[in-house]
Amino acid sequence: MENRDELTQAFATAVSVAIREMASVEAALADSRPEKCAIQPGEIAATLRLTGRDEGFLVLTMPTETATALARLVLAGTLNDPDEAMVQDCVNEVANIIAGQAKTLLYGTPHHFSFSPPLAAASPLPSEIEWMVQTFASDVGELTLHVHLP
Amino acid sequence: MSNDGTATDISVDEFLRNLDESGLSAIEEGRSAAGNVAAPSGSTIAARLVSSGVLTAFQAKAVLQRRFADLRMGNYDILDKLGVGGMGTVFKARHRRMKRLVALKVLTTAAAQSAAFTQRFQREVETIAKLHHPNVVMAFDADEAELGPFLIMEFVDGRDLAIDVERGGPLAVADAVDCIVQAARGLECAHGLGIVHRDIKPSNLLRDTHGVVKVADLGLARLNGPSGDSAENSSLTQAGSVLGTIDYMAPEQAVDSASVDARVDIYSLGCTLYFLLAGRAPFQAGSIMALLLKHREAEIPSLMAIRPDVPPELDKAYRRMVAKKPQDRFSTMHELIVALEELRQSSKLSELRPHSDSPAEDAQPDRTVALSPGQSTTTGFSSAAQSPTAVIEPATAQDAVSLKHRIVVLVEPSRTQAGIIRRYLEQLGIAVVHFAKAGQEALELAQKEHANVIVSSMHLSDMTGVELAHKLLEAPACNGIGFVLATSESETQQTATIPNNPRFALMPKPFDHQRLSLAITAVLKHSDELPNR
Repeated sequence: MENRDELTQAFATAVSVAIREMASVEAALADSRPEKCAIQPGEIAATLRLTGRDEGFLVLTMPTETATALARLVLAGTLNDPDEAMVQDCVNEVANIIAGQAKTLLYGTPHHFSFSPPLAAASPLPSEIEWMVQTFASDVGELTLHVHLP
Repeated sequence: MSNDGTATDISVDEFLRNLDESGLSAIEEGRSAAGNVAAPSGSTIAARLVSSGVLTAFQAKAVLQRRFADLRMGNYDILDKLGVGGMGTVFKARHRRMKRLVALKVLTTAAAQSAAFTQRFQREVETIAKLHHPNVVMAFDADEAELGPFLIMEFVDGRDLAIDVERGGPLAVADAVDCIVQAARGLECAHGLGIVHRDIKPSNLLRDTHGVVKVADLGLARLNGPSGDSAENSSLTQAGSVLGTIDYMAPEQAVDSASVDARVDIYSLGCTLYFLLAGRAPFQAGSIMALLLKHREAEIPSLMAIRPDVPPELDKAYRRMVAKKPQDRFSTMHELIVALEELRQSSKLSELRPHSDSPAEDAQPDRTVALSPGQSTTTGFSSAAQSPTAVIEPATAQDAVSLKHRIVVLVEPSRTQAGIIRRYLEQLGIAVVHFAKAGQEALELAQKEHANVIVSSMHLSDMTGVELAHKLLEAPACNGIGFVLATSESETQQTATIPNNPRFALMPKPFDHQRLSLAITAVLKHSDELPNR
């Protein structure tokens, strides 16, 4: 996998598959761009540390309403009204699945990575690093994936 | 109510009171049945009313359990539950005055709570209402009841093609082609209106008792065209449907579902043709992502290899339907229909269904589990890497190993995933689920509670799931306990460390209850044979 388009496609596919399988909702890539320090405060965020040749991060963010709606769908039949902690746990798990799917797609490429379990919500992220930022439109609202590959 | 969902019995008087209160207008028949049954009870009267056709089994159960709200929706009497999907439930229903039979699709509570969902639901209803074609299940109307919005669809008296093949085996070539041509005609109509179905699969093609094939579940459809921006039309859920099915999904749809065109339906229809003739989808893999990669990269399996009675022209048309690149496929449904009609006229297609020991059965190359890249299972599930551990043969394994009365220890730090797995285990009839917070606790709990299997995630607080698996498999006291490792990381990347043992199965996330069932069944097949059991 040499070019950026293919990298973009791998993460877009990972998000699309994870959201589809977990919540029966489609997430369509609306935008993909490089950006510095793009994490917005006030959103629900799940962060995973990526390891490869260096250290990287994968952060999934979304507005609280989106996260709540997503959690309701993921947990349908299990929990009707997830509380704040459960919503966060659900977003963490979605991010975990996304990372797993992306890792599979990037297996055998120079971008292959390992990843940690989701980090605590307040974990600081390095500033001034360049992210690949992907925005997805879905029936539950907008989701954003930030990836800084190791 | 008992654990298995059946009602405990009630007296005759209580049943008749319930029946009266239910509004089903069957009280006279109920009284009459009570007078004609020896040793009557609520359930015996209910059974009599069901056998005489006064009530359906669904209605009788609801009356016994006083679930009157389940019996009516708007102007419709609910007769039966036809299916439950990710987003809702489908019921067979009858209009109270017109007596017309319909299928009602009702959104789940979670979906109905979302304004975006309900708005789009309505918008899609309006789109589907434009479709009038004998090969499309029509939407009559939409309405709203206490439970939320629901869609009123044509009720098709028949069964879907997935069930048809499941019960009767692969179709005769002529029959399969006829089904595909009919479905293509329905889709041609939809495409003409700018509607792309996006979820064509055997279970979404219904065949009625007259042999008419109808395309169902257009609710997932997307409106293409000048006004169809992706934000507005990117998707829509329809009750009763689980969004998209990777088994039949075009490669480009998995990447960007918003920008697909009608050619994704041609691809899915090609995969469906393969299923009708082979009895299975064209690709199988150990995980969803591996399956997706096969659609994108693997060689297209030949129809002629599995069915010698398939003429080369049909194999060629099928290959064009499932070409990896959209530009290599038929460009329109019309073009496909013309090609298949020409084929029907120019060559004699076999009208015989293959025997059960036909090549379609024999030629399945990968019935067992596959674990390294390129290997696969017929089940869409894998158990381990490189050296297959638990061997999974879905139908026979499912038959041979009962999951009821089994004891599971679940160690999963994610509350979300733990909740999902617990729900699946309940669906599978697993008797007892014990929760452990860490690996060591899971080991101790499994021994103490005489568990049959541990289901674990990879990242635990005191060890990894792989380490836990090794500890379990190496402990003599745990002989006979199986291990299922649920992990979001691909099975292809852990070959060096995962146990090579038939009591171990690797289950890539995300998974559904069927995949979980296959995993547990596979390890139990081996665990049950060991002395400690």
